[in-house]
Order: sequence, then C-alpha cells, then structure tokens
Amino acid sequence: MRFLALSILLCTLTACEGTFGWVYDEYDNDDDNDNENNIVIKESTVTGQFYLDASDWKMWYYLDLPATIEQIRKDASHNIKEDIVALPIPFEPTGDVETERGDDKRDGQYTYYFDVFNEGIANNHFSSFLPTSAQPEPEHWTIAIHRNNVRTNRLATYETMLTDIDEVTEDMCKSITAWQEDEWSENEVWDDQSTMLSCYVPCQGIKVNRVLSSWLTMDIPPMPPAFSMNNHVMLLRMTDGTYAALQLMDYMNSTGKKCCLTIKYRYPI
Amino acid sequence: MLSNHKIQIPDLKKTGIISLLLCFTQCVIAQNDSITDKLLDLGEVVVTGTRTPKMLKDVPVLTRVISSKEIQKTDATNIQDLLQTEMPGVEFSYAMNQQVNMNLSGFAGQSVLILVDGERLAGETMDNVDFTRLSMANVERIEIVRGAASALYGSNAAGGVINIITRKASEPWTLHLDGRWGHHSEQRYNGIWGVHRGITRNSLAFSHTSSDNYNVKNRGTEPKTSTFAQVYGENTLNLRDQISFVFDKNLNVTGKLGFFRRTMDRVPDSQERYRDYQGGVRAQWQITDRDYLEASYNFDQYDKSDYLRTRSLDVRKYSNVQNSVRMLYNHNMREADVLTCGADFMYDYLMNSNLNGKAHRQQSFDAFAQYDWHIDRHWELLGAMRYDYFSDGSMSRLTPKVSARWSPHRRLTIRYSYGGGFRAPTLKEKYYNFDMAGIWIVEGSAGLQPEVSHNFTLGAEYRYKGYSLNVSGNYNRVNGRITTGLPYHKDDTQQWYLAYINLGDMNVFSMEASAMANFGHGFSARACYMLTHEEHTSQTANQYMPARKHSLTLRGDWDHQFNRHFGLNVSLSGRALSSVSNEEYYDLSTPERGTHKVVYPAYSLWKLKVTGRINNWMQLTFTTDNIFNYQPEYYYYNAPLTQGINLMGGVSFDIDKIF
Repeated sequence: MRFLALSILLCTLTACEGTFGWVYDEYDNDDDNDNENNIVIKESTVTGQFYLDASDWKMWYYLDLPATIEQIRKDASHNIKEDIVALPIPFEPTGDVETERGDDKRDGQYTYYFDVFNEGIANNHFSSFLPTSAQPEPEHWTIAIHRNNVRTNRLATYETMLTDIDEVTEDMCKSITAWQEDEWSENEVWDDQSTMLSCYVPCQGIKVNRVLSSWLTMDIPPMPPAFSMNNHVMLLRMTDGTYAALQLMDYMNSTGKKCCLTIKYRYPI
Repeated sequence: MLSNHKIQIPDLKKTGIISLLLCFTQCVIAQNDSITDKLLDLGEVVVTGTRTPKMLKDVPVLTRVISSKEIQKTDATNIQDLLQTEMPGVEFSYAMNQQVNMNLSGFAGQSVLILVDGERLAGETMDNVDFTRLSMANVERIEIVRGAASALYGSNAAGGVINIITRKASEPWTLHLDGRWGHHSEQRYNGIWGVHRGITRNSLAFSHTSSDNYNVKNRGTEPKTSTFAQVYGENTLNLRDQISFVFDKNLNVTGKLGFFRRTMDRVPDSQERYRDYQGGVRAQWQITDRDYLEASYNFDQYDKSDYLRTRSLDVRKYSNVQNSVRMLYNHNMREADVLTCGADFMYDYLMNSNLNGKAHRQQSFDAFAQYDWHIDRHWELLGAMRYDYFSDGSMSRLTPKVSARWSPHRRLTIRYSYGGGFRAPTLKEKYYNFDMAGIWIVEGSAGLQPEVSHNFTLGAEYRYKGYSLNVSGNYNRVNGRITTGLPYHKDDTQQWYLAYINLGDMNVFSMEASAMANFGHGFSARACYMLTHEEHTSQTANQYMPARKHSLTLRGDWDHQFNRHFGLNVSLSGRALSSVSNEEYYDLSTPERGTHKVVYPAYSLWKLKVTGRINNWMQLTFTTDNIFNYQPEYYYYNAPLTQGINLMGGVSFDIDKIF
C-alpha cells in the first residue's frame, strides 16, 4: 500500500512534461565523429572506417580511396569527409520523352513500373525514357555511392565470405578469378522517391557495381521499404593491381535514418 | 472469458440517490417492469450521459450500455473488436501504414471522446487513440453516448462519448486466467486478480496479445495506391492496478497505476514501440446525504519510439503527456433534482520529431454546471452549460446542452436532446511539419479555429417483458471541420503541401433501430440497424473514410445449464455493411492528376462461438470467425483485414471458484 502511495506521489511530482526518459536512448548527434574512429596504420596498410550520409536521392558521393589513404598516412586525424565529393544526378532533359525502349545504353532517366503494392519491386518493366546529360564525375575517384547503389571507376570487385576485414590477405586476393566489373542498369538507381506510390519510379541509366551494391538491398513491400545489410568483406582490384577491402558496418544513423553508411576500409592489402 | 459480475451502484456515488430510490420504488410496485429490467439490463446504472449515476431506463440522454456479459459473449480482445461487433455505424478503417481510424456515425476518431473511468487518454496516431490500449480484460461495462456531449466533456465530444468503466474487486478474492489461440500465431492471455479485505479493494489486470505479420493477396490492378501486401501483427502488454480504500462509508480513495506496451515489426532493422504510463488518484466524498464531491488527478504519458536493432538504440520520437485535475460536485435538490458543477484543468505536453519547434505545451481549463430537473415521474429536463479555455491561441468556447425525457407510459420512454459540440485544434494540427516520403509536406496551421457542431437527437424506447425496441434519429451540423485540405504549391518549387484547415461544413443524419428479445429457455437475440447519411459542403481527399450508409449487427444466443457440472452457450453474431465510395487521388504521388471515386464493396462477417462451462470454474471456447469465408478482393483503406475463416480456441479458469 505504501509502495503504491509512493509511486503515485512520484508520478504526480515529476510528471508535468513526462517522466521515464531513462527508458529511452538519446540521439547520438556525433555520427560524423565515426570518421576519426578506428584508424590503424600498420606498415603501409591503413585500416579505418568512415561515416557517409548517402541518403540524398539526387546525389552521388565520390571518394578517391588511395588519395585519402595517402592523406591519412600523413595525418592520422585526417577527416575523410573532406575528401568526399558530392555531384548531383542530372535531370535537365536533353531530348523528348520516349516510350519505346531502345537497345542503346543512353544517359538519362528511365521510368520503370514497379509492382510496389503486390508482387514487389522485382516485378518491373520499362515505361519511358528521358535523355539527360551524363553523370558528372571528379577527375580522380575510386568508388561512388548513392543510397544503396555503388559504382566504381572501372575497377573489379569480389564478395568474400569473411566478416573480419583484417583476415583478408594479398595471396587471397591474387587467387581470385571471379572478379566482377560494373554493369549497365536502368532500374536500380532510384532517384525520386516522391513518385514511389504511383508505382512509376524514375531511375538513372548508369553503370553500377552489383557486388558492392549488394551490401545494402531494399525491398518493397513492405512499405516503408525494408533494408537488409550484407556485412561480408568486399574486395576491390585497383587499376594499378593493388587491392582494397571495404565492409559495410551499418546503414543507419542514430536517429534511424536509412542510407547513412558506416564503411570500414583497408588499403592496400 | 470473464466471470459474470452484477453491476452495483458504487457506495459513494449517491448523487442521484433520491431518483434511484424512486426508481426502486417503482420497480417494487410494478413487478413486470422489474422482470423486464432484469432481462434487458435496464436496471444498469450509467454515469456518462449526465455525470451522475442514473438507471439506464431513466437517463434523459440516450445511452447504449455494453455489459460485461455482452463483452464476454463477443470474446473481444480490445475496444475495436468489441465496437465493430456490437454496434452498427461503427467502423474502423486503415491508413496506408495501417494506422487505425474509427468512424462513429459519420464522425472520425478525433471527434469521438474515449474515456477510461471518465479520464481522457493521451496520445494519438492519425488523430485516434491507440485502441489496442483498451483491453477488454477487467471491464465492467462500456457506456456509449452518441451525439454531442461537449457541454459535459468539452473538446472532442462532438460525435459522442465512449466511457469504459473498469471492474472493482467485490469478492474476498478472485483469480481469473484465460488464453486464446488463433490463426497467424494469434495469442491472447488475460489474468485478473481481485482482493477485497477490510477497507481495501485491489484489482490487478494483466493482458498480453501477439500475432504475426502475414501477406495478403490482392486480386486485380485497381485501386493500386491503397492496397496492402502485408498485414502487420502486433505484440501488446497491458498491466493495470487499481486500489481503493473505503475509509468510512462516506469517503473512498482510489489509486491506479497502468503500463502498456505495443510493438510492431514492419521492417527487419527496426521495431516500432508504443508505451503508455498511467497513474492517478481519485477521492469520492459523500459530504452529506445531499452533497457529493469528487476530486481526481490523472497522469497519462503516451510515447512512441523506434528500436534500431543494428545500434541497439531505443530512440523516442513522440511523447504526449497529459496531467489533469478534476473536481465534480453534486447537490441533490428537492425531489430528485440534481445540481452538478465541475471544473477541470489539464496540462498538455506534446513532443514530436515531426513538429515545428519539436515540443509544444498547452493548458486548458473548463467549468460547467448542469441541472437535472425531475419534474414528475413522467417528465425530466436537463440543462447544462460549459466554458472551456485553451491557452494556445487563447481560445475559449461556451457550449450548451438540453435534454428531456418523457415517459408517458411505464413501457415507453421518449428522449430528446440538443447538444453543442466542439473540437479544439490539437497541438499537432497547429504545428505539424511532416515530410511524407517526399510526396508532400503535411503542415499544421496555428490559426485554426475550433470545429463546432450542433446535435439534435430524438429517440423512443418501448419495452415489454423480455422485449425492447429502440428507435432514434440524430442530426448533426458541423461547422469548420478540421482536416487536411487539398495539396498546393507554396512557392515556385514543385513541393506539394497539405495543410490542416477549417475545411467547411458537414451535415450528418443518422437513424438507429434496435430490437432486443429474451425469448426464455436460454434464447435471446439482438438486432441493430443504422442508417447514416453525410453531406459535405467542401470536398477533400484524405484517408478518413466516410460512414457506410447502411449497417446492421445481429446476435443470437442460446444458453443452457444441463446440470451443475456442465453448461453450454452458443452465440452467433454478424455484421453487414453496405458499400461506400470515397474520393481519392488516382495516385498520391501526383495529386495533380486529380481524384476519382473508389468504391468499397458491401460485405458481411459472421462469427460462431461455442462455450462449454465445466464445474463453474472452467470454460472452453471454440470460435469460428468469418464463417462464410469472406475475403476482400483488395486489402485497402476500408476493407476488413481478414483472410477468410479463422478458427480460435480458448480456455479460461476462475481459480477462486475451485475452492
């Protein structure tokens, strides 16, 4: 009885704007600070991780990994965010809308019908095409990220079954024969969410890397979309024959926003 | 599910004592009436219509009571289950995210005030309270007053009041346990423990439900923007303790504590969590034979959070906290006249990550007075007036109500009511700022004015032995409805905005006819039909469904006790709803394409329940829900979320009756 009376009294005294705040976790507003975390420089190899808010539907984020690693070697406190270049997806039409699908792989916006409400987005078909200029790119870059899509600058990639980036060895990389390069896509780089509920979603026609992109997949239904993460270590074979490893550690920030990526890297292997 | 429990007038609620005595006297004189009352539950005491305890048959305000016996027959889990089974003109529809919206005779959930033991509930989703909070475990009865009751209850009581009265412990000790299992791993467990020792009465209720997500198949291609591919299951936990101390026969103090938790897994990486914390204390003091005073304090906090699995973070994104202090005073005048006065204060706090400024606060104050004039045994007249003040925007409102009861014959009662209603704009409607997936921004309007309504009700009730017939008509005129308007562009950008506005007027006419019969030999039946007709002066397109024009609920029961070890109850219930059309966008993403009428077809759902009572302490229940295997062609806003026949089995124990 006394316990009840005390509980009621406590409620009344503390309750004006709510209580039980301790039940919840506070937002961590310092997601960006992850950039500085976990940097290990061992001989010539640098291992670390960075945070990237890649949630913008209309933007590609480019990173030149070897150049960044060089900067980190010079200054371990270097912030990778400074190296990331954001370039918008071009939407300005350069021609008329076409409803017949041509065979050529042209730059532009491909609107596809996606069965958002029933069979799911795997069930889709071409609807129209609007030509635009090509995607702008920086002079030097290694990978580009847009939400759950990843491209490489003419690199080859391979998905390992490893989940610890430190277990990757150069010999392992050299023994791999099934490297995969970027492939043309017209229905994967969704760049406008506002038409999603109409089932017609514009997508950028561009080459994507399906190995790296498989680290984060999106499924509809349900609505809102369900994301699933693959934390296998992904390997990159650079144009100069060196190897890098990337691993997606998380795809949400501390407020639950999706496509905010925490990526672990190791270079060179 | 629950043991039968006779409704008793609370010892200290003697405010209408003279009128009750008069009723009892009449009952003694007319034994037939007594039998009628017993068979038809007309001897129930209700409080919602007048805020004083009165016999159901004598109350001047038309009130529908769903007793614990009826709740038990429906096997309902929560208020949503119960109302749609028992009442015509009540329907629950679903927004795109399957948030639930109630429609009560043309009024959406935000215009219907839902109370638990007379107290408001914090929190909303789509302007509706969380119906899963309102478990039917340990409910004594539910009182429903259709039509405006803002003169007694203030804002939100424009379309009606639903008051859930919880059960108080009356036996030295009781322990009830039950479980039910159904399709999609649906499980429900209830436990109710009651103790009555000396001056102390304690009632502890526990309820847990869970069900899985399941996929549904839509046939055809239209309307594609409203359909669901998956129905989301829920997991709920409801705990409530209520303790009363009867210090002497004139003073009663009741304290309560409650906790509620609901989780939902729409996507694998995060879990939606809803929690409610409740506490309060109420003192009831019978000062003299004629004077009664009640004072209460109530705290209710409703939170929403997302649990991010990858980060193990439980992040709160919404909190609504209501602190209320209420005073109610009744004075019995000459004969059975009762003067009722009261005043309330509420501090309302709203934190929402989709709110301009994130958090807003409002104080509201009201004072009201009501005079219940018992002219003679045929006539009773009731008048009330209430003043409400809201600090945000310094809004105030004066609301009147007049009700009359005429009983020209002991079997016939005529009731008439005029009631003003209003709904003050909520903090959400004033300060919302929600980007809906880039499609449009739903935004509040600080300059919103209260929605005002006028309600006229005329009803007749005829009863004879075990039969009763009720017919009532209801007309509502609502001015300045608060809802989202048409989408518009604010500036040169292509961004669509959807603002809360005072849209226009709405006229709602409804007519209800219900018949109840107790045929004897264990047979009883009830049939209720409702006609609802809505007219709007301004059109909009949103997810609040209009009422279906025709709705019907039917129930037939047979109950027989074969011997002292075994009894059987068979109950068949159903509801039938006519089709309805709603103005909706061709697709939400491109509102410039305009709207079209989407037709939601007529349907009916039937449930057969067979309950075996074994040795007075055990019950086995087998239920076949949707016995005609109805499956909607589409699962959308206003379609029932059923996949066809659902078989359920349940068992319950009244442990105290074993000994």
